[in-house]
Amino acid sequence: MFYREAGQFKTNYQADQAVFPILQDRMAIGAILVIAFVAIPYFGNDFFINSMMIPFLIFSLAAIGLNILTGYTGQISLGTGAFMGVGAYSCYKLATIFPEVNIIFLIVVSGFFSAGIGVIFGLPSLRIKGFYLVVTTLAAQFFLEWAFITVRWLYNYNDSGAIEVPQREVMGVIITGASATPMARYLVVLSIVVVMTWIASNIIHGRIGRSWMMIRDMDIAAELMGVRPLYAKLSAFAVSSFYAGVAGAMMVFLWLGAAEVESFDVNHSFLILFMVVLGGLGSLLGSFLGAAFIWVLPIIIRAAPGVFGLDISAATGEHVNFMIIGVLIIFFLIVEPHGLARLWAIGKQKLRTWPFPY
Amino acid sequence: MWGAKSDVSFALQIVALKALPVLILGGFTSVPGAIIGGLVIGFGEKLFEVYWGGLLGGGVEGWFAYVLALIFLLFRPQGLFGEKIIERV
Repeated sequence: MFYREAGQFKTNYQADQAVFPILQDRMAIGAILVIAFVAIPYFGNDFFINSMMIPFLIFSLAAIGLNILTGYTGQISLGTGAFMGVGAYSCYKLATIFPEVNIIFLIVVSGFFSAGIGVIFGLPSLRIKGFYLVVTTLAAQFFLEWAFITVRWLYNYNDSGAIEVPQREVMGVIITGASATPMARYLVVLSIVVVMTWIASNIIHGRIGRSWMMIRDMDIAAELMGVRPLYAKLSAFAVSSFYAGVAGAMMVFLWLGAAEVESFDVNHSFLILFMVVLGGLGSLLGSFLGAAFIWVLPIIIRAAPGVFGLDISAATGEHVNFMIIGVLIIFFLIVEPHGLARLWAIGKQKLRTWPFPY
Repeated sequence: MWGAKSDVSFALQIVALKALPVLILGGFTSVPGAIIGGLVIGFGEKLFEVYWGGLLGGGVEGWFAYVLALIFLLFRPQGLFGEKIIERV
């Protein structure tokens, strides 16, 4: 009843092309941003911020990256974990080579290294497509995992083979390293994710995004209509790997604090792919919903028996957790194969016509 | 069988992924291709590991199969025995 666009007239082209054309949507986005920037740091405790919100935001960014490649351009990729690793390792190298440079700048710059590697492994996509591309991105995954172990220069020749995040501060506030507060790290992660989501939304709604979607829908027809597959596909790989790389650098620097190769293995790629498929292919909102479903829901289920006063062992709780999440994934994919984002869109449409749906 | 060789764990799923390069090498529509492809990949990665792995720092088994499949996809997308892929619009 309150969600109506009746009476909201558009008088210029800018208003017609707006990303959120409906006033209520703009108000909702504003409210979410206020909650995320003000309410959560103010009221949330360290556990909530550190093990729910920070990983949720980082995985959302990685899922946006994969969604650009798989959802918008139609190129299936199983190499996201490795591209996140490229971002993390290059950020580590940059942070140790240039200790005086602002760490946020380095995190963003490490995305460019990841983008370069992504373009190299995206080259086969010009010749092959669909299922075959899975194998080439798996090649990227396993080759890069091997490189992270074998090229000892990447982790500064230390014996453990792990990268340890050095302590860095920005404007007097410590944001990386062991003594950084969760709140500071959360605000940095949130700012980067908000800005990069906004950029992604603008790219997708612009000329480049349209060419990606044309390639996805029918690549030969898109080529006939003047979209160059070389630029469209490689730019999708570059942007996608850039997002994955920044997410990986944030994962190590602002969440885990230390990482080794196992943090970026093929299971990690599958995790991000599940988020994208479950949340909705070709939807930025879906990336967030999928990340929330895969990451936040298990934590809530794990905490639920304690709230209800049930006493079950940790192992049993973990198994029940796997079962519930598995059943829910299958259930949602049967009910709505287009993902949670489509469910949300249907709900919005119902809300618009409620209470007189005819 | 792989489980009997090393041990049974969740890491076994990596073996299932390795079936993909075997299929691509042999060709998707060919049963003998799968057998030959499996033999080529299996022998190939062990021989490569033993003879040339040392030059690259070891552990090349992990990605050899995929890179071989990648090279095959670039030059012979239908694999060794597969039917020619015809594109329709």
